[in-house]
Amino acid sequence: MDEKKICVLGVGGAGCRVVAALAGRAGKGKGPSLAAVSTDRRTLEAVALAHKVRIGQALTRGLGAGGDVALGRRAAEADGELIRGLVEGMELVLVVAGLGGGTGTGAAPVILDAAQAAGAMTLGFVTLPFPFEGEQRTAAAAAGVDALRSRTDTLVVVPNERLVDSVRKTRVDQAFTKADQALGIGLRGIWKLLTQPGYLNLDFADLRRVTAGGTCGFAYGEGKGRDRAKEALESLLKNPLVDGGRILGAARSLVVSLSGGADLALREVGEVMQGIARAAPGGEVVMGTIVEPVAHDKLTIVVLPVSGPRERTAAPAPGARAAEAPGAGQDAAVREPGARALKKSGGRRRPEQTKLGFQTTKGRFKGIEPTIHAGEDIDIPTFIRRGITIDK
Amino acid sequence: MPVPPVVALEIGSTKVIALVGERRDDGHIMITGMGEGPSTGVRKGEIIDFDNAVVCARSALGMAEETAKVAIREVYLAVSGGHIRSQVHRGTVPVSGRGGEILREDVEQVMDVARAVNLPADRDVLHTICQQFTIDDEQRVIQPEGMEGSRLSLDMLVLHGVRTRLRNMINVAKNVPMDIADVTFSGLCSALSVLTPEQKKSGALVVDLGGGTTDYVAYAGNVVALAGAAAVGGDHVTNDIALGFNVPTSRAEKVKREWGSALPGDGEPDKTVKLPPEVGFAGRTIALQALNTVIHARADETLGIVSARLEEAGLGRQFGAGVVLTGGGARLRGMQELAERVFGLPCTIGKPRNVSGLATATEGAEYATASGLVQYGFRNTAAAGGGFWGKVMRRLIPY
Repeated sequence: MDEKKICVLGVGGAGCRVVAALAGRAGKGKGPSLAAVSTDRRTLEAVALAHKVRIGQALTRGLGAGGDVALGRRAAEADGELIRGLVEGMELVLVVAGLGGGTGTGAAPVILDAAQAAGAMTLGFVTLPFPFEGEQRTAAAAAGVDALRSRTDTLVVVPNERLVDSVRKTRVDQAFTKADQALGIGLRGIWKLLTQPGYLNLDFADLRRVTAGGTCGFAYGEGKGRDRAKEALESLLKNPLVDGGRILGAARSLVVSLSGGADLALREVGEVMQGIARAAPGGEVVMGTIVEPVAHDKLTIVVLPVSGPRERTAAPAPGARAAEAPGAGQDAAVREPGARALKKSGGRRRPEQTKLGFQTTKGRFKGIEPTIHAGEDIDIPTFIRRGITIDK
Repeated sequence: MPVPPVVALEIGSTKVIALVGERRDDGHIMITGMGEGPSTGVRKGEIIDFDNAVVCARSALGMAEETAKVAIREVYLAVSGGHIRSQVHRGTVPVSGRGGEILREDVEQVMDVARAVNLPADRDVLHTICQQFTIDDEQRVIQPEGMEGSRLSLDMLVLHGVRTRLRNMINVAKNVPMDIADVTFSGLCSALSVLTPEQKKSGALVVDLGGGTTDYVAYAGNVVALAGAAAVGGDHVTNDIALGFNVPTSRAEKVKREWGSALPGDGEPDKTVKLPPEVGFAGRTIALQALNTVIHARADETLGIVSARLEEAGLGRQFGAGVVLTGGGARLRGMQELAERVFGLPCTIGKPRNVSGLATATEGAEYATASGLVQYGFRNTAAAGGGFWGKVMRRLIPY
């Protein structure tokens, strides 16, 4: 895939920081276009990125969304033009966000909608808050994941808690810094996989096929020197992100990205893959390698374990079709999850869009003046507007 | 001379209630008659079918007359609706007494000035509630008469609503036919009914979860700091269930009451609820988890709206007595715990206090408004003779 057709957008405070850290490691002038998107002026000032976009200026006046998801969403909607400009002409859009707050959780779905409307494939890379951040953020993050599922071809969800070896012994500010660093490694592993040459290539269509319908976790390991393959494997299995190897074992499939220098030997690749196969017998493993001179003497493994899709039994009741952007207005078009035609691998495809007959979803409140709150017609069932699918 | 009975009329979205109350010599209030019936002409707290609403009101009042054995001519009317809001207006007057003594005329004048709020042309004032007096912008007092200062200010909470919508409700009652003694915001009645003086002093948020609306009244610093209503209620929960699972509204209501919980994880993971077939409905089985997921989403959003209104008003967390839930919706399992999560405050269920008599009318949370309205009616009657209280709660809508 042409690197120029990929963009990585950090949305909200956490997202912007992670993408900025990514820029630091990537070196100047190379790599996909990176951008930071936020409502908060200070967040944008603090990140060392060339491309910064402030949304919702009229609504928040340069302050953050303050944990208000609806405000984050409205801010993104208010600057639809800016966002469309960001994703125009892109083939793959990666959205990075920390869920639970206002901008990341609220604006990410809007941005992904724009990306899909522009014909791009989409990948979401999001974190869930630490438990100490409180119940409200945890709940908002869970709702955020639901909203993103139908808007991404591949969704990687990482609980912050798992990024830190021992939360008890870590200071709060250290916890967040460590989390950002780990995420940077993971993100880099993924986009390099899709753009850099290596021995074994993996393209986005493969990624999408393997991850379709499920949710990805994320884990990594690093090794150096002669025994780097062994070291990297051990480091991977010790990483709290795999919970002692359990997460690998429970995955239905694994996407593995192996990166090393020009001296990366096929033997080492084999060693790593055998180790992973031992940890995850029965799971489908899809692998790609990346060779970069700058990684000389080092070996990095990034794994995306894919866990099974959520159970969907009967089709939803007529008029109760899910996957609406939280807060979309009465005339918004709605995307049917799974109703997308996949064309050639790596090519553009347009999602089918259906217009939901809103009169039928109002039942008892049909024909009566709607109750409007935060720009939404809340007579429409909440579970529909929040994009929650219900198992029946 | 005995105090005449007070009749409270609440024309809600789910039911119409008429309560007849009498005050004994010791001051205690007894409910002596009750009429109740389904409400078919009201949705989200507002009249959508005038004739139907009149018929329902007439029927409930007829029942109340029979049980109380009195002829009812005049009612106190409770109103609600998403259009009802509050704002604080401050009035200031120079002190006119010699040597800076605050005279009665100063108090009366500052009340008039504080009441003179500029509302949009389509709105009428429902209530003006004194919050507190301030002398020279620094000293807060309850009764300033006789004290010294150069400027006297009064913060007044003004509750207002859209004129035409208020008139619709008033006209329904008038067409029964009835005389209207007074019109009150139902949230205030509920607060009057369920809060103890201690709760008011520590600060409390009353949330009345009705069928058509969710009313809220916040007490902070022992004064009413905020009041209003959102046009979303228990009927929305029922509607979400009906649409989500494709079942008739009446069955949705039943399954909500029997099995529903506001907590998504409540109940055994694989439990299902069977809805037997009936005319026009083939019957179906619903997963309990799915049911509660739908209920939770709506309940969470509704409480979130009240929470957002609090934040907008800058009221945050100053409620020592926490949240008091009342109204029919307070009976929903898990609602208390959900409210604690949403507001981050301890939460209790409030039931009618200070009235006795017909057991049903005095015990259920869904009677909080009507029972509070009876109490309000007696206070108003006492105040009709003037006095400080009368001036505080003077009604302003001519009818």
